[in-house]
Amino acid sequence: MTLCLGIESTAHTFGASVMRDDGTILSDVRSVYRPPPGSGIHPREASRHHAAHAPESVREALDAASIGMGDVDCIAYSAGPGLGPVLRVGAVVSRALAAYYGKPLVPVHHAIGHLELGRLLTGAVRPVALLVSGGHTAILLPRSSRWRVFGETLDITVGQLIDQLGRYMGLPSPAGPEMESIAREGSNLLDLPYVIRGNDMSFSGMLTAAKKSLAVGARREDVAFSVQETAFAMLCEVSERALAFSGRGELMVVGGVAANSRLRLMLESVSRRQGARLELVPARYSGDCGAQIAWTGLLHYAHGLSVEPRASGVIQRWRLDQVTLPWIERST
Amino acid sequence: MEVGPGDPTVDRAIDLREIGVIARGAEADIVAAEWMGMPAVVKRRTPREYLNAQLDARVRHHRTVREARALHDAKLAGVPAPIVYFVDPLNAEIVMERISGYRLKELLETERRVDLVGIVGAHLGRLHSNGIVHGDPTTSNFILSGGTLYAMDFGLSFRSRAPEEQASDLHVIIEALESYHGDLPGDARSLLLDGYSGAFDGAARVLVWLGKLESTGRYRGD
Repeated sequence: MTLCLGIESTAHTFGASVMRDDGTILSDVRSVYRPPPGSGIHPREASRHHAAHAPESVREALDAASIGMGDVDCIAYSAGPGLGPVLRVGAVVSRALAAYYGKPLVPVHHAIGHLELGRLLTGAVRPVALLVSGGHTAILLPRSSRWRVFGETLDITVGQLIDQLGRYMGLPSPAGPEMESIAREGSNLLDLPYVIRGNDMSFSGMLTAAKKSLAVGARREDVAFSVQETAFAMLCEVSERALAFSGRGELMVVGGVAANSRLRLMLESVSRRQGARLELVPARYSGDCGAQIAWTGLLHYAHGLSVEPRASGVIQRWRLDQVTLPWIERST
Repeated sequence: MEVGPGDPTVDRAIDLREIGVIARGAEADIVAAEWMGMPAVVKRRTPREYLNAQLDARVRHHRTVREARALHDAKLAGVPAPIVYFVDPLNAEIVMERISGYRLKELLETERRVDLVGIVGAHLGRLHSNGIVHGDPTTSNFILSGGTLYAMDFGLSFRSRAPEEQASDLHVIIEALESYHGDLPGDARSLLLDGYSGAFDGAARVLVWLGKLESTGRYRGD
């Protein structure tokens, strides 16, 4: 039996979680930085918040799992991608714990954390995965030791689209839940750019067009509605194409935006049309959390990966398809 | 009775006999048919019932028109493509020549026909030198029939001579080759780019953009 303490620290959330290698989540504690309404995440403020809340979060995670640091077999941390100052808080905390208690340290790619925790919790084996969050928007397939990118955004992510539009409207950040309820009151579809190149998508033109519509007096309900309808239609189209192209029978959805009920409804229809099973990660684990890091850390650790605290670092920009994952068989 | 062009009740492919669905893609059904006695297919962009109806109609109409135009333009550029027999933008249908053969995707998987990748490069070079960006040149969208490699599925195509747009075409096919056919023998990438450069005088500029696209890593972590 192996126990891993996972530390998540890439954006709004500082998370600490203890997981066992049989896939049991023994604890999952979060502390979320919330910027004032109308403003986005401030890297320095967020890092201060995380630094202030890290000790209590880690202690709570250990207590909730009824273990002490001595029982932990390895420590995993989110090494990237993310905001530099925020990443460094998680890395410093993990490094210090690893050095002091003499524990192996395992760097984890944040987005792979979403994908692997998603596979664990949904039971999906070889899914087409839709990853939609503030940091990522991509359609992926596990194949030959990697998560392969089938299609992705060429510019901003859907999370950024919603958050930046939300900020423009004066909503709190992250703006997803508010945007969704405002969109529910909209009905008039504005003509926004629907841009697909190959299997890649572009959302920055949509953001500009949506802001312009607001500036010339469009109802914000209609703008929110149109942005959701158009952006989600693009995600659904590429997801359908990935299912049709690969012939795979599972569509897995992970990332913060997966909590949106309109998107979920549309994806149900997508998977029905393509004869696939829709695998939704439980809402509690679709967003950022320590468990995604703990679980992926366990997978890496089981395959012999750990780094010396001295040699550990963070990577602000880090493509997820560059990480070799030995547990994804060569044949899949 | 007098009717004008575009009248939806009349302007239909009347001499069309549908035989049966051959393929159900992500956005369209391909139906085997006969048109004026000739083997044909109907590409019918089916509604996506989960979309806002207005958005759905707009996207389907737009792509049908684009595709029909580009199929025609591609042939003028010297790239084999199915002949368009009839276009019905209102119902998002194109009746076109039936090309019987195997998709490049299958030929790469089963027969490892990496030689065809050079022809794909030449096709893209010809399209680009005539101001056409394919928009979706994946390995599913080329069919080998009787020794001729046909380009199809121009629904995402558009007119542009901008090297960054042309580079994104190359990027799409390279991504498909590397992520889905990563185990091919030989150097598919050089074959592709050699074919491309041989068919397009402006290739050098595009390759610079391709390098930028690949090195910047569009995958944002912030």
